[in-house]
Amino acid sequence: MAEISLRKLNKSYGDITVVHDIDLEIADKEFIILVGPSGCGKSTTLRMIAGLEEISSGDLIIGDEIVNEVAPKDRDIAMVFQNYALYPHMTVYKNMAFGLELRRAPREEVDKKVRDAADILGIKHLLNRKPKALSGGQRQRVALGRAMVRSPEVFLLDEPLSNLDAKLRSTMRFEISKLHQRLDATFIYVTHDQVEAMTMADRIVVMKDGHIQQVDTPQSLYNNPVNTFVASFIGAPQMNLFEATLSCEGEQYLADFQGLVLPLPERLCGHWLAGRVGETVTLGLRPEAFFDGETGPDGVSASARLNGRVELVEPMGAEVHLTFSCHDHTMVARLSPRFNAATGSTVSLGIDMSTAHLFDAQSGLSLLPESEGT
Amino acid sequence: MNWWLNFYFAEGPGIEPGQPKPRGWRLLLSTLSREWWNLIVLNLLFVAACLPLVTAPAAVAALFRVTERIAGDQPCDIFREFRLAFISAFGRATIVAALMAALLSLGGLAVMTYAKAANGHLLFVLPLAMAIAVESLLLIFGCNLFYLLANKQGGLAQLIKAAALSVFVRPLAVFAALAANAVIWLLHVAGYPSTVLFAVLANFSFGALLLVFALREPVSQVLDLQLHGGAAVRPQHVNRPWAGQDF
Repeated sequence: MAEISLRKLNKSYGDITVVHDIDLEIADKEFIILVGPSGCGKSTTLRMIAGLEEISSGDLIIGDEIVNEVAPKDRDIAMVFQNYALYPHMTVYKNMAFGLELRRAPREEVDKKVRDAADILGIKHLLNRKPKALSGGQRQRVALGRAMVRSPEVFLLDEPLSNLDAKLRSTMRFEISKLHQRLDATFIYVTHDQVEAMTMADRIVVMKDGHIQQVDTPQSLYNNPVNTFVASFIGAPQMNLFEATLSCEGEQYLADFQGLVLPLPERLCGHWLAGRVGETVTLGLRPEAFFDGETGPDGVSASARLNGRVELVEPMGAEVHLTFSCHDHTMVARLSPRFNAATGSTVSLGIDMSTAHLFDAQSGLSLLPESEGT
Repeated sequence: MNWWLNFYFAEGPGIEPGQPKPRGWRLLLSTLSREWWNLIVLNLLFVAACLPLVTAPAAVAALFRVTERIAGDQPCDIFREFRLAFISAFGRATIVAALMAALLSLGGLAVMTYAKAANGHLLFVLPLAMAIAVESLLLIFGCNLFYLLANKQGGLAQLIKAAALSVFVRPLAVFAALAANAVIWLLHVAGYPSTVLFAVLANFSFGALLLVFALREPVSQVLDLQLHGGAAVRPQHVNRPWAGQDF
């Protein structure tokens, strides 16, 4: 069993604290991804779990044991690094076997584990090669294999795909997900790429400035971000955020954006908005909330229409990303591939307000109470 | 230092699983370029193992085992593989070496005797040619036998039979390898003392690799034939998977 608990975990370098009071429960066999911009403390947190960084305060519990003072080699974890960290003078076989040999595992067992791992990862033909001959993807597989042969309870992966090209990254994402299912171990994965996080994780931990912003499943994070940071970090293109004034007509709450009155969906309207009428709030609209026809892709009719000036049209094949300006705000819409407009022209886009988000303009926190999130 | 580190850690082109392997000379050259350091280590190990002299036959068998692994592109811990082969082949290699030394000495004696006789009577040219041919075939037979001894399991009689049959499969390639060995040693002698390190660092292991490249194909063909015929000489990886070498 490899449940991991982080209790009030802190990391300081002198007077500078880079990880603040992290509380996190990771279930056995869970695939959890720490995501956030550079410098947010995600790699430091991972390295504390690995034992490569000393914990300044708080407890790290693996299973039932507090492991703050346990040496990395005794934590039953294996780590895969961004730069692979392969020994250049050793063959692939030796690189994979080295950890087990240091533990004086029987030769036949080492051989079997190395060959089995190589078979799973499709690198059997590389066993007698040195890392210099291998491509980035193959090196990454070797690094994974080296972690696999130890059969650890927990795999720690620190941006393992960052050095790969886009195509290979996509392939490796699939392979790592498959590997997780096959190995049935706990995976803790660090990345700054939200696509990796969304596609692979059971749960995502969004971090910023050493603080956890939100922990949830990928879809839940996307649908119910707790603040503007999470809202803009998760999703590509990112959520459009702009300020609007809150008003009310009977039971219906409205957001007034530069004279354009947008009716808020029922989901957002409730007693919690009562005291905020007349206040400035931040309205969030995902790019897919815009559509260019009379009705949206699911047949929804426009809650409102908005005119904008076309700044950029980016055909992506299956969709078109339209960057347009409206009242000095730049927004992005995800439209159907049939959409076409010249730069500088004016377009009229429908808005589906049912997926809108509302945040406090000062704190950036969601105005939807947690209990109301869907 | 940066340029060196960049060179050392730079990504390579990658090796696809289905990528066709080079064959013949290209395979030999790619193996040499990849494994030159291991060959130097192996040579030093071999020289050290031969120092007590009586250990030379077992060291030759061990040399053939490791070079076979290198030629077969198999992962190989040189020190361990050498030690294991040395120990396991010690007794039989010593017997075979004594037997081969006796046979080759007899052959050599015959060649010299007929050569002297042919100097006086042209009639002895024919037996001289036959003696040279037999001596050459004996040399190939010896190489085959040591190679089999190092890499295959089975009774000595079965190995001798397989070695004898292998002599007649592609003997020219083995002759070429033996000739290349001779050239390596002649270069060493001709350049002495500036080439003094050749023998210590390269000659034995590089020479053995050349021989193994020449011996693998004939031996595997004969073994295939014997295996299909139900003979008991089996590749060693049947019992030691980590030492596997597909024949």
